Amino acid sequence: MQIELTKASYSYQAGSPFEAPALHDIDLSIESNELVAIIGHSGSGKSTLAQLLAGLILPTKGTVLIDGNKPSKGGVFRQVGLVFQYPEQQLFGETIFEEVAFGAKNYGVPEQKIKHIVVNALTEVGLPPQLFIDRSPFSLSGGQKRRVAIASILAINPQIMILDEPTAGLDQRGRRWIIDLIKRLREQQGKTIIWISHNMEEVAELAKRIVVLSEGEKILDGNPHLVFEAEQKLLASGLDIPQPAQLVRRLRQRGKPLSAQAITVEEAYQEIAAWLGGGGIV
Amino acid sequence: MFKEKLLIGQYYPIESPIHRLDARAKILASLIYMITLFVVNNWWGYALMAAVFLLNTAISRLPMAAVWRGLKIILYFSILTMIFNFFFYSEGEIIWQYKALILTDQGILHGIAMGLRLLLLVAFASLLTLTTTPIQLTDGLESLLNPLSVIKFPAHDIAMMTSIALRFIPTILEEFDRIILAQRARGATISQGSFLKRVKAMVPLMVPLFVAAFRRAEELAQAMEAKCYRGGKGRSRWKKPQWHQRDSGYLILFALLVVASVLLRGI
Amino acid sequence: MIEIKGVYFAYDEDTPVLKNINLNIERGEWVAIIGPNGSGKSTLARQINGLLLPDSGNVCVEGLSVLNSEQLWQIRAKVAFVFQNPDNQLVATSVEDDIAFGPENLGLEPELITERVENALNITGLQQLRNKPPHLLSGGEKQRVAIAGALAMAAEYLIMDEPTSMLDPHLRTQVLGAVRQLHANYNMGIVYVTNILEEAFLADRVVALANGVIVAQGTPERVFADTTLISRLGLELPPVCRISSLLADAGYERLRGIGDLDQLVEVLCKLS
Repeated sequence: MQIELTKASYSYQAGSPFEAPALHDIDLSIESNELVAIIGHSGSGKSTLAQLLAGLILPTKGTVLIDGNKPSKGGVFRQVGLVFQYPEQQLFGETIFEEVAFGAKNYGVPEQKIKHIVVNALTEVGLPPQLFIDRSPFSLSGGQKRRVAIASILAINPQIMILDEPTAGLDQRGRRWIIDLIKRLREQQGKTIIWISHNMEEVAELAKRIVVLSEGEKILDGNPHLVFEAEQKLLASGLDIPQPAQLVRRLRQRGKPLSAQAITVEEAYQEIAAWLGGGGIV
Repeated sequence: MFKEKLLIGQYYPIESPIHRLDARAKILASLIYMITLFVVNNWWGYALMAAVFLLNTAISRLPMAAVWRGLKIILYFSILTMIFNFFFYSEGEIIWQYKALILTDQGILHGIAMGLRLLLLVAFASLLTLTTTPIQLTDGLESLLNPLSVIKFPAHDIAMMTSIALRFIPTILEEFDRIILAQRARGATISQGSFLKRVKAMVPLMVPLFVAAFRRAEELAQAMEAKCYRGGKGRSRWKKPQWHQRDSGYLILFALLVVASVLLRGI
Repeated sequence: MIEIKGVYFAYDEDTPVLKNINLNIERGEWVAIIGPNGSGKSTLARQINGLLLPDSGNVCVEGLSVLNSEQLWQIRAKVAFVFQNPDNQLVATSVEDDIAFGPENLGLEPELITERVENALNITGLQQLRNKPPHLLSGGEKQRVAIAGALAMAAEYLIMDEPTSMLDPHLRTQVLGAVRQLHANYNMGIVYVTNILEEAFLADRVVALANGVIVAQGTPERVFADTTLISRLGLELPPVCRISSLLADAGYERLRGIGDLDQLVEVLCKLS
């Protein structure tokens, strides 16, 4: 399943004197089972892009196609699951069952299959169904609420998952859990993942491809090494390259024999340890 | 989107003689204008009222587009009012009839007058909010209501509530837009099916909206308490409204408007 | 001085959130309170200005007690609070009116309020935005308005409850810049609740909280050198710190606790 944006632009209040352009001429093609991170600071248009990719809004110019098709009737791509930023803010159900079943029911999944789907989705997000299914979603902690919200998207079983700042506001444990989930969804279930974030450090570990947005335009698109090379461009758009990559770069500038490929903490440590060890220092 | 449809209530920050007037003068003038609208009973009267509105708009230096944007939705209501009045007014000569529906010559005139009245009413009220900052508006309101606190009328609280409402309306509308999109992303359809279905479809929208509103209210109350807010007690005002001669002059003009409209009734 | 003395607190009786907390904070000191979600750090912050009152124990600020209802209002005039959600703490419909809200509640004269508001706008760099309504501000700008409000109240202490957790990194820098200024120029005491350890590095002292108990405190360098504690707390050291700890564990002891990128580069270059 392939997503294809061609010269897609989007403006809020298009055609009125208050028109506010949000995205400009975006060309983007995402293949099946890819993990793409979309990076930009607030106001760069990344959330608008997510909604465009999900078919929730239609481009004011250009096209968005999934496997060559435009969004279906009702204006949503069923194959795309979009997890909004702070998705726990959309909870409404009396029980977690009702909450998680909501999307699947809306898409007409037969009643007898729903229970099975809900149980699977809750298991996937690490909430034992027998303990949680009848509870009110409002009785949960913040982190658990987010898991329920994500489960309600998983229950629709979309081929493509878009997650808008999924780790925002979570502590380290919560973040770790989200990152592991993303990994699992891609590797074990073969889903395509589009991960929207403002945090370079966080995506560097998993994403093989990073798309950088600034002021509604795509300014960089490629593997992390390539993207972090363009330091000036990133700084100009209010983004930082990850600290480990910066450290390695600074040491290289001092003439130290390190590989520019090191961008995560682990990689940077390995490089530095190898260099120090090789130099025979105690 | 809801926020884009947001009509009256958005202050338009420019300099003009109307902007400079005391909010109390503008609130009273608007009240007088509204009452006068119900005094007039003929085209001369309506012409006068329309002229007063246009003159005020001109002096306020508001671009017509900004005023017009606020009136668009009201225009629909005006037209609706007009059409209703067309058919529910039975006096006069019948022009057209279909079963119980009758259209009379006087009915048409009456309908147009009613539509115009509603339009002018809202248009003038929107001039008030376009030329007065929310804080001036609520301060003015508080000051006008203050004499009533003798009879335990909570003037300060009402003004504070109005001000908070004005502050949060845009934020909550934005939030509502986001909730609609988020539920649509979960396959929800909002504007299809029977009445009952539509009401049911509102639940996933309204529950999150209310949950968020209550959370906001709680957090805001904490923030206010942390800033030593304890009702009107011991509180001073930074920008006290200042009454000038021009404000008295403005009100005198509106008093003359009442006189003129009463005189015009006789024509 | 803020004195937290033997404070216990529970939202419901069975599950105490704070258990015998003792902590003193000097004026002009910058204390970071760290801990995982649910460790009680926000609850502790709310004890200091009496938004929540201790079930037992006491909290005093400059000798005034939160348990005395008149003194409580005097405490709130001295202790300003910036909340996590930038959206829900601005009351007024424009930036300058919001900054004036606190001083108005204190019953100050209009001339004095003008002076305070101008000063706060200048220091936080919000002059250009003074007439803007809150809903047109970025999250970082909203938090700066909240900080300006604290300044206009002439508070002696500023408590911040995860003020940047909902912000982008570059907005985060703006907010931290404003806090630094207040700390440096006004000798304000800062209590900064966070689980972003980069930010805790700016503090003079770090207090680590877990399950309602203080489990460690000291300079950031000292507390963060204990990597087992940090991971037990479910927190993560900043990347530079993690690299220096890994290298220290591998035998380069001299690198332990270094959290600053420039410093690490220098020390590494000297090593080789």
